Amino acid sequence: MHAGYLKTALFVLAGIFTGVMFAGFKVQDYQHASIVISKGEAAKPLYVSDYSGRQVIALSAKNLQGAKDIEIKMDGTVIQSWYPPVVKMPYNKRMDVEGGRFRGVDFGKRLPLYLIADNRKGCGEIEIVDLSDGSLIQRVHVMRGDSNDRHH
Amino acid sequence: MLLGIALFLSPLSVIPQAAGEVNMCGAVCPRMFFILSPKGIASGFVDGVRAAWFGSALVGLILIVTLFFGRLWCSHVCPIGGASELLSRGIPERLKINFSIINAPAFRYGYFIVFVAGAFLGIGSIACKFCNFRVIPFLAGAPFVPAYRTYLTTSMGIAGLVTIGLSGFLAKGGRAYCNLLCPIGVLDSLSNRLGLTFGKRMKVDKDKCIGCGECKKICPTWSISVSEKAEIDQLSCMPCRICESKCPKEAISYGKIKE
Repeated sequence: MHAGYLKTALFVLAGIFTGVMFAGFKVQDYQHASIVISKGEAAKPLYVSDYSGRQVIALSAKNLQGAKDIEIKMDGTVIQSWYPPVVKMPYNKRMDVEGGRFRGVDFGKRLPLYLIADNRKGCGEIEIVDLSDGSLIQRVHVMRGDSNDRHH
Repeated sequence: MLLGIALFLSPLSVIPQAAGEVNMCGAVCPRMFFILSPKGIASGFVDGVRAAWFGSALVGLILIVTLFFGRLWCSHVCPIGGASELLSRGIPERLKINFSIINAPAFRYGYFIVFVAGAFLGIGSIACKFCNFRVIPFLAGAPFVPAYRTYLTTSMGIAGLVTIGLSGFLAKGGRAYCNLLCPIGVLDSLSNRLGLTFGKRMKVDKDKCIGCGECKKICPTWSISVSEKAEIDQLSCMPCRICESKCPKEAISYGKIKE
């Protein structure tokens, strides 16, 4: 009886240990970050690691401004998204995507982006532009150093 | 299972597209909304349900169905567990890892505590790390979508692939991830246990059972134990009904346990 409880407790601890290991797992070449796209507000800078090889920033950008057609760009990086769908269903009337250009972005929509930088040095800037008139919506500074990869 | 894969995964993503998504992330994510937020438990939950409205509604529906009919989502619909199980069937048995020495419910609840409360307690968040709802849809879409290939070739993507490879494709039965690490499986198994007195479940007719252990050998979730007679652990069982088809005495069936 006691052996049964002990065995159960050991496996609970093993589960907790595995969870703690997974939660603490970090890599140099991939990190999450999130931003809020809002016009006229100074954006909080993003901190990415000092890793100098190919680095992927998984950026979750939440649209909290009115422009529906926007472009997201950053010098020296390739921007990818998993939109649009491979086979677009007839009932899917939402966003169109081409590279970093998004058309028909609803207010509150989160855009999942991958910013891929190869051997980038120094800091950079993400520019978010209103495609309807080319005006700048927001600029986000990307700094190197302590990461802020708090997960969304 | 194949229908679930076709409906949820690339290239068609029929159901995710109904929610404006293309995979199991974003509004369709069924795992994020119940993670305790360091910003506030109640407000975090509301924000999580808003952001993942489709995923949270799906989980609610799964739990209600489970209450009455057992874990049909896990055994028959889940595209992720289903894909793992189907792929594992193509791998020779001698190469597979047998996880059945692990007390699955105990391990699962230990892991679940960290999954739900890790960020809140400052340990860190597991969330998308090693998530099979991310890795498997990305694998399915990788031939068509460069962004999926980008993720899968990062260290994080490779770590996810290794985890799903070992606990899915290379696991005996293909369901070790479902049984040990899946947070929906945790909630679903509790719902399965709660509805035991009135819902339909896999059950053993003790008068017919001869304790041969054939059912135990083929159970993908190692939820059958045999001493003199077979016993089904309702905290792990999903009614895939493989045991029912293999039982030489027709002692296992699907129906109400207390009739």
